[in-house]
Amino acid sequence: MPKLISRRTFINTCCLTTIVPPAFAQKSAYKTNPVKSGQDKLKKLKPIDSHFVSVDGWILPAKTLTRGTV
Amino acid sequence: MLFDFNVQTTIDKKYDVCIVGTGPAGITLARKLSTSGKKVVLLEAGGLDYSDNSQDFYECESIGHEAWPKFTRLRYFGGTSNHWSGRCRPFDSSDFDDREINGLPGWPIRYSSIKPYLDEAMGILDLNTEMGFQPASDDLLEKYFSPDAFSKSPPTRFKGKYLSEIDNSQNIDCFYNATATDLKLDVSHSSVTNIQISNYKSYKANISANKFILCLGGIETPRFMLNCNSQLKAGIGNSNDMVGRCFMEHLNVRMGSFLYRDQENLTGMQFYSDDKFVEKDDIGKSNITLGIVKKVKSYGRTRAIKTFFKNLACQMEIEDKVQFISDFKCPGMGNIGTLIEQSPNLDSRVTLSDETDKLGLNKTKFEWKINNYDRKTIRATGLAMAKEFSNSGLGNIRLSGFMLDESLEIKFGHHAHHMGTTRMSKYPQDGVVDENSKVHDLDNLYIAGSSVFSTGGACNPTMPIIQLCLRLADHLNG
Repeated sequence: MPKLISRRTFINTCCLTTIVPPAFAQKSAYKTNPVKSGQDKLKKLKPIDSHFVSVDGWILPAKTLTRGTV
Repeated sequence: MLFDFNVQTTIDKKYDVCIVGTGPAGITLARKLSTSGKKVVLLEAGGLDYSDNSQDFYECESIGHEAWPKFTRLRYFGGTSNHWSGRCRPFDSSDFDDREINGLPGWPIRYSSIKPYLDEAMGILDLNTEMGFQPASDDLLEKYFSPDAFSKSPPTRFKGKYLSEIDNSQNIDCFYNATATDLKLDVSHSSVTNIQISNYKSYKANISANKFILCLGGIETPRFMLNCNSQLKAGIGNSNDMVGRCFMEHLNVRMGSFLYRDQENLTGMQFYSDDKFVEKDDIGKSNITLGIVKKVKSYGRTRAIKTFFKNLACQMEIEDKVQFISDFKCPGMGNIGTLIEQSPNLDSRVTLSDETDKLGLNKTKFEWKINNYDRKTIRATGLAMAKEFSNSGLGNIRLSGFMLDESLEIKFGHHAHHMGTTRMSKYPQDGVVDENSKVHDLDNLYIAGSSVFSTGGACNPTMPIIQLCLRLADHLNG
């Protein structure tokens, strides 16, 4: 009986699907309303000192927030 | 000469020195002492090759943080050198500075005591003395960290390198399949008179020697001393209840991940904390390794996918699974690994379990713990590295949640470096051995190996072990 799908094809298909999940990676993001979602994002921003902030664990220079780029 | 104690059970000589354990410490001492004319008996509990039967004697009762003590050591000729990785880095001079941590003093000796043995130790470990210790990366960070410099042993397997030399030695009698089961003391309990050994058939014999050296590693050395309780209830050398305390590992913390800017140069980096930073923040030392992903394909995306599906019906919640897949690393990203100094801590310890092994010796009860000093070291080091990485324009670091939130438990692993359980100290109340590695309470019992480390620095312990053994051999040779 011929194989319907090869192991390689199956793995490749799985790999392609991994492009999508980051959009859904934040827990329960799709369950919350936009205002609450924005508040959650703010909760992830923590000042470290006068020069650095933490955004979801990323340690970034505070000045990058005002510039809007990393 | 080599003797199988399962077969050759008559031992009627008296030796100058009895060495227990054939790992790097035991073999180095045996070779060094025998070449100066000492008659040495060298004891190995296991056989000449690995066997499950022998390895099973390393079963422990673990009640603290897991460090896999059964699998990180090897119980046969050559000891753990049979699977070590070969990374060598010397202690720094500052590791021996007069410094108190957690109410305990640091080393009672200075670096100048072991420095003269560096070249000889490098030769034993087949390191290139002319090349020395090379920095692993460029000096990319502005402050707090410098490139770590180390050398790589082939790695030297002590069995392969020294077995025939010991077999042909006129001054070394090596008995294998000979487990040390007890030390007998004189009437005043001030000296060891002989050691009792047992083979796997529980046949026992006693060996007399003028001096005894325990080279059993950071877990088995205290276990043996505590089991020697036929004359002293608390065990030998334990009048101050210090045997087995202050177990230290090097902490392997998955601090987080990073994004590296320089896509042209994807070579990994290793940094070592500067002394000024360590002193200023009053923390332990650290090696930080930044491994960069070069190719997605080689990084094993399919392996992660397989793991994902394997976990699908298991422990992970669906949201965790999605997060897991979203955390794939692309070229230029990487993970941070560490080798962080653990401070000496009385509550991190080796004691005896109520369970016994096949020879009737109590098994190890192993309780590995870190404390708030270590937590401070981990978090301060990670944050300083993240800031430096950014300041230097190398990229950005994302720290794990527990690095920034002190209410979360720090996740860490081990490096199979077992240290500190018979620590060196000037005064008996602070440790087990004195400046010459002699047990405080006894006239002729010595300990060699990483169990005597007062502090562990952030370097792999094998080379300092060899340096300390060479120093001890010189001391015993007078």
